[in-house]
Amino acid sequence: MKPAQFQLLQPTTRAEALAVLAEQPDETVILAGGQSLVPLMNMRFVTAERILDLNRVSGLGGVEVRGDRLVVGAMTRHREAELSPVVLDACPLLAHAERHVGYVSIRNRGTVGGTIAHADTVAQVPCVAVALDARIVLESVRGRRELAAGDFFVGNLMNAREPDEAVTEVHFPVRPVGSLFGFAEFARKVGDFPLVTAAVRLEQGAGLSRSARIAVGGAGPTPVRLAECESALEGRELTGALAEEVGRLAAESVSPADSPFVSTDYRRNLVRVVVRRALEQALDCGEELR
Amino acid sequence: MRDLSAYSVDHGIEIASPNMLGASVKRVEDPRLIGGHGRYVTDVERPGMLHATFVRSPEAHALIRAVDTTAARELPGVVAVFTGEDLREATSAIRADAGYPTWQTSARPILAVDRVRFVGEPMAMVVAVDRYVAEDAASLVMLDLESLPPIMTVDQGLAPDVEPFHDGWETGCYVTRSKESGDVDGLFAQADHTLKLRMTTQRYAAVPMEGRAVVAELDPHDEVLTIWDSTQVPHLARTGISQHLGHPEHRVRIIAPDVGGGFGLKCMVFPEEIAIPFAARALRRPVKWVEDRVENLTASAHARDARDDLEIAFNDDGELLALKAHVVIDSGAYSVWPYTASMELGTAVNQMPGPYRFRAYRGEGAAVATNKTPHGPFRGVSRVAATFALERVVDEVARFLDMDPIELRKRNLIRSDEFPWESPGGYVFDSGSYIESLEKLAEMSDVAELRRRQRDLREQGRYIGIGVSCFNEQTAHSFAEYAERGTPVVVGYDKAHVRMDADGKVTVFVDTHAQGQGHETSYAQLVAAQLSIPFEDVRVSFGDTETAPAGMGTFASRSMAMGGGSIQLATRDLKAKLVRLAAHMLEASPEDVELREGMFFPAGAPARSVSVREIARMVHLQSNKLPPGEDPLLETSYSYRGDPGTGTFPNCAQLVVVDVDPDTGKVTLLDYFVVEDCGPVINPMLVEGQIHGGVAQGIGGALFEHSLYDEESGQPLATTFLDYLMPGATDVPDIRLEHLYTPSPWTPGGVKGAAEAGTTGSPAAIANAVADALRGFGDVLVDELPLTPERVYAHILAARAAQATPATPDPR
Repeated sequence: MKPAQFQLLQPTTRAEALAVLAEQPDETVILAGGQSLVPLMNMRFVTAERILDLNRVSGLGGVEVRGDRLVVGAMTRHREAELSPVVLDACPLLAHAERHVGYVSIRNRGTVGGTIAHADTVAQVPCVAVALDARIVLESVRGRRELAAGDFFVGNLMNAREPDEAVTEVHFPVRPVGSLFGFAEFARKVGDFPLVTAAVRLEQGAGLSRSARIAVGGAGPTPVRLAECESALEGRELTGALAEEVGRLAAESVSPADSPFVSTDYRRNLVRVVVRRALEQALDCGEELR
Repeated sequence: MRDLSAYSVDHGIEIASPNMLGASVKRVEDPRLIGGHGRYVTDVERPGMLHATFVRSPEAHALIRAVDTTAARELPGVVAVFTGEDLREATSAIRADAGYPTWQTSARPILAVDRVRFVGEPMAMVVAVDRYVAEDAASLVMLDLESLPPIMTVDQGLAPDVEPFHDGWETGCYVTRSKESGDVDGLFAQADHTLKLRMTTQRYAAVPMEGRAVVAELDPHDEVLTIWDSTQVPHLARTGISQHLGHPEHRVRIIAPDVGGGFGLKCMVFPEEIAIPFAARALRRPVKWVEDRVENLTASAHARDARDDLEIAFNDDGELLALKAHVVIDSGAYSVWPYTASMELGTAVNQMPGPYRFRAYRGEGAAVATNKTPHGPFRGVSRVAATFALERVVDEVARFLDMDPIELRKRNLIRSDEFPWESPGGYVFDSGSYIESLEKLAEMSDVAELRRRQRDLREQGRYIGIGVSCFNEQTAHSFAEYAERGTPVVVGYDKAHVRMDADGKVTVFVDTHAQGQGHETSYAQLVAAQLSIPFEDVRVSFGDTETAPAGMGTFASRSMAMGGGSIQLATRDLKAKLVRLAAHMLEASPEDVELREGMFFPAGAPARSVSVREIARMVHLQSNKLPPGEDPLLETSYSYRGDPGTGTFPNCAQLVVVDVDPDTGKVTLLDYFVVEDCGPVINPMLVEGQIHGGVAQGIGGALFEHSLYDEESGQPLATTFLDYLMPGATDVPDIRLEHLYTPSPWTPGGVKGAAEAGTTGSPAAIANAVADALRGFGDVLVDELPLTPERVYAHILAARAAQATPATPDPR
């Protein structure tokens, strides 16, 4: 369980990093927190001639609010996103979801940009990103572009990044005043990989829901928005019964793959449960606001 | 009939400092281990050391057409690549044969030749300047394999037309067993009811934190092979390696330094432990191999994997009359040395009647060969699955009769005045507190209150379950067990050597190594207690065959009874000499000499005294003053054998409270209670640690761990901790624990084994608790482990749909 030979590249500036990446993009793998990549390298599921280590690059971490966006630098550690008052204020759903990422020791190292780029369908932050229509900022020597999260994730562990691009920032929309949110997952053990995740956010007017966003992860190759569920909430008062109804709708609208450890039917049931629980959390934060 | 006239053995041990026993002395090994100063095999670095890795079979069953090592050899940094053909002459295949008449042998080459029989079987060994290069080269070894259909289930292996699994086989089984006692058929005919159920325990593994690891080095001056080996059994490893490598035992030295957990996995001898010394000898350079986690989970050994069909006969009043058991073990691809593929089956057949007063018993079964990782010992060998099976059945009987499960058990358990009890399974239970343990468990857990809470929470939509298990188990096996099995090594004794130096301080040399048990502490307590010297004046040494006396090592909860027994008896003999010398120096007769706090006094004359230290000084430094007939020697050795009987039988009862999530089937443990009785306790803190760790491992088996295979391809599916789930700190509830102290009549100090009870009883208790919770949904039979959320949820759905097959006894 040792990685194949590689060249370790450790630039210190963003420009330098992008230049290094541009040299041999197809032979270069980007190392952020290493919590997923390093085990994959050790098992030789990932082999690369060149490892571009972003850990010494200045200016890639940190969180700030710019206008209506919470800008999270790609190298921001999960633990910072979890505990930052800026994140808690601007995008509490993200902070809340971060608490479910692995164990504290993993969150101390793993990064927001890393988990986005890794694009694991069961990862918590991608689910939130899809739910909120976060923007993924990609940079290369050719320039800078943004992709909607829904367009960025193209398959399990697959994203729409060009080989010479690096994820440098993730932009989450700042929470509308009074919006309600919830995040739920089902994992067999605390800190273990979840089987499914659900993230919801909705606004309320006169006690009725509107602009609901619901995403689930782990029920397909990427986290997905559930349009039917969102419209089912529109203009209705969020109650426990409605949460259950939407959970059932969610279960019907996904087709998870069968796996040796988890059957399709069971995973579908878990989608029902986590969507309902995420909505129940939203209901609870509605109670608090009242 | 056995001769049990020696029901009580007086070993002549007198304890001079009773406060040393039953004392939670802090572990002397902890500053080293917790401070990160432990030394493991991985830490061993030798000049010029090379690193090995193994090329392992990617197929479950295939003929080997060719192993092409050309490209691998050419890689810079590669020193050698060995194949099965290269080792065929220089080593012998591992054969571990049991003596049963139905036995069929398996020969396991050190590196595969002709055929591979499980995914992970070593096929070639690459030796290079470092592990990185070795693994690079391993990927260049070309395997030409002709796939064969694998045997992946016991039913395939039991088919009458199965292809011979090993050369010359006539059936698909290593061995079949049967034993019968009492009028089984008669009792079944006259019973009010009978109930037949199948209980299945999954395949899972020991998974110590430190995997296997070997460093070997040949000394060119004397041809001594020194092997640093992460093993529980240094001397058995020496015998096994010597035998298979053709290197004489007196030129093999095993050093087992700190070992990071064993749990039975490291009491076997594996091919890698022979291949690495082979390479070191062939290349005349030190070679190191450290197992990685994928190898550990797929290529070391697995355990459990038992299918138990039980049929029980009982009366309306709750009396259990007779038991029939048919046990099928999935034993994997090879018989392991030295325990053989008869181990799990043989012990299960013997153990199945458990602590109950069955009047008749018929046990039979088969150990089936499959194209899976070989089956080996793991904490709670056979008892984990057997206890799960029997205790589930007993609970279902209670449910059918609408009796309280604790009351039903108490009615049928062997009473404490009935020992020694000859079990219909062939064991002799030495002593126990079966009913008392259950009573204490009910009291400490306040079952009535728990039941009330369960009803209240049910009204709030929560599904709480309360489950109990009780059992006894064989530990510190005497010769009888292994003699019956006819194994290559008949385990049943262990040795100690006790030496007092000129300053009166003592070193204990013993073979029973520690992999977390704290022997450096508990063994020192035994010596300090008899000699009445400070605890700090005793040092315990083990793990090096150059200094430790040859014995069997640490497994089967034998260290305190066997290793500790030999220490106590060697110390007794040393003390006898000290008493004689003290009497000489005090001009008193030995019978009149008393020992207190390291000082000898003539009885009734406490003003005159001589210290242990003064005696030691005289013996070593002024031996001219010794009385006639006394040698200048303060060293004793003892080899303790556990006769009579079939080992010591501790007992334990566990009660667990679970919460089942009706939405997902996820099981959460709310409360855990244990009453254990392993006889007099030397160090309660260590016993409690054993119970805590054991329960955690049982929780793993009950809820999480599963060495699952794809039955079509034969590929293992749980190859990393991504898919092989281990219990963590958050999965283990607070465990409340109480002790009873029923001594064994046979062992020195009456001690029994303590290491496995936590593990043995917890899957049974948890399964019973889950079954109890699921009764809130309807009729459902909990009959298979692990209780994953998906499996439990399936039970919920089935119960709700009223489609479950209820455990309905045959009407009479």
